[in-house]
Amino acid sequence: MIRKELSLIVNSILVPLAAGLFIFLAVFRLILPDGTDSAPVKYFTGTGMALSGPVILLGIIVSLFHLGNPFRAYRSVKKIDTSWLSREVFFTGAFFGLWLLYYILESAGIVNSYVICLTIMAGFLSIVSMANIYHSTGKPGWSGFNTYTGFLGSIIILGSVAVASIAVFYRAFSGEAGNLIFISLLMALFVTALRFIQQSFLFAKLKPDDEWNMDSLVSGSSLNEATISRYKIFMIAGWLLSFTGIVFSLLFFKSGVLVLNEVFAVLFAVVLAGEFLERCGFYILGPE
Amino acid sequence: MAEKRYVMVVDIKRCIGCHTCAIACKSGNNLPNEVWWNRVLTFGGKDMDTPHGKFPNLQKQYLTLACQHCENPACVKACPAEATYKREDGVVMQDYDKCLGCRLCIMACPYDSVRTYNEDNPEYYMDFPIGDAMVEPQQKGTVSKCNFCVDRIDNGLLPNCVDVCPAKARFFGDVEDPESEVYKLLKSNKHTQLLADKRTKPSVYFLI
Repeated sequence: MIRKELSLIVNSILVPLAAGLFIFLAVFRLILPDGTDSAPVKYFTGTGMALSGPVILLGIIVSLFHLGNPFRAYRSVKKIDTSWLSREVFFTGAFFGLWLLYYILESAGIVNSYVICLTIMAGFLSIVSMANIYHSTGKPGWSGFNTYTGFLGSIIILGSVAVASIAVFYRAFSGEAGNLIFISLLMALFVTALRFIQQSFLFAKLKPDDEWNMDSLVSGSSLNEATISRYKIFMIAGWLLSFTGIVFSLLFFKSGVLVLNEVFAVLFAVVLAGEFLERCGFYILGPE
Repeated sequence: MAEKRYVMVVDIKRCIGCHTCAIACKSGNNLPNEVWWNRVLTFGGKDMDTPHGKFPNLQKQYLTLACQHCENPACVKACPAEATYKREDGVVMQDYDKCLGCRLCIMACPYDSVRTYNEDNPEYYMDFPIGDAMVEPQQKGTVSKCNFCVDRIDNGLLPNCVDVCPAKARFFGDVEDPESEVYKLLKSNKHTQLLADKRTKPSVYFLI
């Protein structure tokens, strides 16, 4: 399952990362008063928002490898009225298109709040659609609220740690900007705590089918012991990595110790690996 | 008169588990190696021919499974490319020329393994097609499934699985026609549908 869905897994990490980067930094710009619009803060928000575009594009390109017929990908927006995949493709495309418009305007020195707000909305709706693709299937482990904290939570977790890393690179972590980054990292910590609680309940709920009846025999929702065990291993390993990365980012950021490019690059990589493993675990529950 | 609506009725009490339906489906539709649109399950577990009960009182109860051609198909709603669609007579179809190979129909379908994804070019044990000449060839990177043998039913024939069943456990026809065998069977017998709680309204009924 993981090998077959690898490109989807990568796509489902990259697009929330891009959305997180853009959303956090756009909100920072709105919140930060004009007086704190110092050169490092301007550089770090500008660079982060500019980076999100190539990340979306990379996510879109990678997702094509998931298709049996990538040259028919243009057909994927044919059913926006009923298909969550059509909606996801539409909103991800809109996210990239609006980011491009933002980037062109920004390069020309024009800051258009409407374009930024629309880009935020498209990015958010893209991830909501992505989560609904799985939530709507009704499969065990996919049909609960954990699917939303998984996908939407990635926006906060990946976005906040990526923002912190970029801020450290530009030495833009003092004053008001530093406070906002700290709050965003706290939000990421809250998401990991929420995921921990949800997963604990889900682990207890997932049971293999050992007594067969007419429905369990034909149901695509039946799980065996090996699948459940693999799911748990991936989810626990992923959660531990994400949690570790976020906690150390918070500690270093708050204390001012080890606020170095290399350290935060490693912490970002740890969180990225954690999200990747959690997503692998999620896809293990899908049909073979 | 109401529109035509094709349904299949399977009398599981008559099924002898001979797998003839599965073989006829596979050969008639010229399905590639390892691809089965129609399978015969037993109540002991998901492995073929697993009995249920405790030794020495073991029993084999058979259940055939293929696409349920739901009235409210989750696959049709999920397909982003209009490749999975429902005909007016209720048959749920897969258009290979439109299929992206995203496999969302497989994820959305509540039934287990009623679809197959041709990851590679279809391969056959024979070096020539053995099935019905009217059957549309399978394509790489697309999903395929039972289509009630549309090429046969459109020409007034029965689906392969119904035609060959030696126990006469399978029936096919227009349920809106009061004179049809399926209408009479459903009217006069207790029957059930698989995973009825999913509200997909399957067009395959099982007499119990």
